[in-house]
Amino acid sequence: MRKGRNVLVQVRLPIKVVEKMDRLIELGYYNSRSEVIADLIRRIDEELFGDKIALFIEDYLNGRVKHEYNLKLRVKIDVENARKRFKELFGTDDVSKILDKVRGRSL
Amino acid sequence: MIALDTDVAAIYFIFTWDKRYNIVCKLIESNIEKALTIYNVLELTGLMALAQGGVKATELFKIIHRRGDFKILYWKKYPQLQSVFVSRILDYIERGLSLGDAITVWFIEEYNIDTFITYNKKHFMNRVLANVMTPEEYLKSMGIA
Repeated sequence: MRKGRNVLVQVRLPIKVVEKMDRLIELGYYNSRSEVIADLIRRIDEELFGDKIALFIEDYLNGRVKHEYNLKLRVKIDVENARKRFKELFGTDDVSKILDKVRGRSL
Repeated sequence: MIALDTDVAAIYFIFTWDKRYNIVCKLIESNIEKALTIYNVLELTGLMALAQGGVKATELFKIIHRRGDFKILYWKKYPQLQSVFVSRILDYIERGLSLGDAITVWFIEEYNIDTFITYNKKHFMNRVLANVMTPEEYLKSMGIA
């Protein structure tokens, strides 16, 4: 397909979706239904397909991530280094005190 | 279904030196169906980034999603407008919740979670439509501990 060429694509959409599209046109966000759909596809292409984590999340939400029923599955960490880092950053390695600071419950 | 707060998941995945580690393991490595909100997962991922760097953080993010015993709760109805998103968060903040707690409560109620498991009960009691228990209290109520 040549770049820049427009192709007629017939789509069937729920009436509510079409009404919402028309509302966006009335409000001046778009000039036509074609523009609404083209912009939506462009956004999906930019936001999703350029982002591997976003793709992973979409796979999860659509049931395409293979689950592992391994109750021990976790990330290996260097415990001493982790404790040292938390103490440097928060003055403590106590999870409750750190989360209070992270969530803005205490300063 | 129960949902875990970040502190409980953090003890299990990162703060393994915490004195509550064994009881948290007992809860998480049981067959009880557990949920974590995506907000809590991101908070946990952030803690891992601080402790062990970004690569380990991303690894943790993916592992939690792959673990079949966890259900990650994403917004069922994510507001498309920023104005609506901010307004919804303010609804929860008005209950006397911090930003992070407010987003967590939003998920808990959207999914009708029965019990929220946290070591920070005082921040959630009477502010969320769910039972609020520590891991010890929950295991005891289930006759496990």
